[in-house]
Amino acid sequence: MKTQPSNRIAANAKKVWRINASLYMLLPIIAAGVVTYFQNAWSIPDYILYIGWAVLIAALFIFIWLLPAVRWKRWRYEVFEQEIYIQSGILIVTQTIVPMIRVQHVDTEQGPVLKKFGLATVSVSTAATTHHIPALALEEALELRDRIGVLARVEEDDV
Amino acid sequence: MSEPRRMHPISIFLRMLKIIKDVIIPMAIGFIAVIKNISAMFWWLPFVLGGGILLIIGLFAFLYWFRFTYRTEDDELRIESGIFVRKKRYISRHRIHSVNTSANIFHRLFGLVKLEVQTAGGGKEAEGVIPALSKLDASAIQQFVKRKEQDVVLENTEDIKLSEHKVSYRLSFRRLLAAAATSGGTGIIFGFLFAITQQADNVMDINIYSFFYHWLLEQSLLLSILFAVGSLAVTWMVAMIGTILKYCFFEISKQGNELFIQRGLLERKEMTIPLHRIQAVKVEENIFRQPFGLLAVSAEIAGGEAGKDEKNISTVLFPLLRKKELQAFLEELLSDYVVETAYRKPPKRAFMRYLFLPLAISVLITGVLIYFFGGYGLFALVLVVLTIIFCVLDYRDAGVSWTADTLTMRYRELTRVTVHVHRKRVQTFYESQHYFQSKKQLGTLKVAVASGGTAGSRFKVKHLEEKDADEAYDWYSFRSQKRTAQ
Repeated sequence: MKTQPSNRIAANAKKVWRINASLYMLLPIIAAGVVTYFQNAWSIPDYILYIGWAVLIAALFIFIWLLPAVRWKRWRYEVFEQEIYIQSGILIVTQTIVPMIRVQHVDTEQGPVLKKFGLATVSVSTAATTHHIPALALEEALELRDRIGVLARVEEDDV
Repeated sequence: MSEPRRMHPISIFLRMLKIIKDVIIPMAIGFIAVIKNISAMFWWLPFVLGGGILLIIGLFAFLYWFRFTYRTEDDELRIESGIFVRKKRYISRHRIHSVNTSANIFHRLFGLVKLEVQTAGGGKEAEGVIPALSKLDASAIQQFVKRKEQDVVLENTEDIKLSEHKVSYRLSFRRLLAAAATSGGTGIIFGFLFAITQQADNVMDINIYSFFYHWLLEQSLLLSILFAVGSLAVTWMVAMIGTILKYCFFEISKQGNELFIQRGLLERKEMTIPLHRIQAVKVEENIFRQPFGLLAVSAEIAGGEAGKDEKNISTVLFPLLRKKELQAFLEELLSDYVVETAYRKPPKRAFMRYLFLPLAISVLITGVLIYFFGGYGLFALVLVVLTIIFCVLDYRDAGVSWTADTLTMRYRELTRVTVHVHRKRVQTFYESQHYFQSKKQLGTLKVAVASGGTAGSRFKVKHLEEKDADEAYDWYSFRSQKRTAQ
């Protein structure tokens, strides 16, 4: 692989991802709770319950604690005059080049959780793909959006 | 043609067919309910009802035709339609990328065509559609759109001379048969049959497979083999007929900066592809064609809805060519693609990566089958052998190569695919690596090109030498190019 792009995303990204992951995990937790409560009524053997909870706790650990940390560690980006470098991935690390002349539009967006932490996501779209740079400080995100917008305004060949 | 025009009246009939097609199922259900509940005295009721509905549909179709007008005015194609809600669509001819026509059987009876106007906007439907007009009117609209190119080209007379030179390739009847015989559509048909039997399963409440299984066990071995071969032959024939209908009288020609494609037996399709809309050229050699040195050429085209009727979004440029004809074909029609290159192939140590996952999956499936079916499950071992053969082929065929302005990627997914992409057509470039790849210094390359609507197409070559992948990355990056120039 090539050398990593230099910029990291905001450290709070980990917290945002953890909160989002926790929200998603609420459903299986509730399901497990219900099953445990009705264990006798539904005559579910003990060992199934134990295995279920073990799997659930392992999943909680992986999705809420481990993956956001790894994901944040991998996430890097760098914007040059002619292209954007992005590195991302958890198990498979991908380095991406998005040329400025192929950029069609740039957006910033902010969900409720991101807003609480004063963060925003920058999305860069080409004719075939969309790339999200998640969780940048709001100021930084707006600045980046404007900068890419200006750099992308180069006369296009085609497409 | 600045005064508004209506379509040919036959479009009332076509419209009726379309409406009937849309409402036939709910109508039929309603009808059955009515028929069940009427007494013998009102035997005429269904007929009156049917007639009334037909009349209403006819009225709507008539109004649709009556309210639908098109004209060319002020450099725009103006289409106005809608019975209650008036829809006016004005398309500037400078924004029109191509004008395609097609004709189904009804169109052909009356010498009409359906005209579709494409602009850059993605989406499933063409931006402007005129369902039925005479060939003369269609070509008038095509001429109207073409005028813009002449405005530009006039400045350079040399270009005009070049554009007068016309090249064309026609699919001979022998080729058509060969293309049909090797289309590999059999697989799709099998999938279709599988889906149907699944449905039958739900509807008829009997398990076709178990029924079939028991029936088969009762027959002699010879008979079951004959049956298998017979059904294979039938599906093959069906696929063959499909290909023949689609590619009969296929002709591609180049006029100036446009490719012009005509094809189809019952439904004629005419397509215009401006050369600058072509994003990538794809050469496909399926397992039936590769041994005979035969292949099919298609192109990824930006914008429009080319090939919306297929899952495959690329547009076929020629259904069947010999390998040695390919270079000349591309040179004459597209001019700037080179076929023969030396590939940078995955190293020997990458073979295990190609083999591991597919083999693991097929061994798992075989294990399950043997567990459930005992002795008969052993037939699944064929699956394992086939998997290994395909893994070897995958590994042997993979490779990338690039010249100053073109990237060529070759990989196999049953069919061997070779993709040629110009550097400036690549929308995004990816290099990726997972844990096992990084341990063995391997890397995967992927590119995205614009194609069809908004999603685009992606091409991927797996497990290359990391050094090669890095060099490809540098080849694409503007930044590293600048560095080497300094």
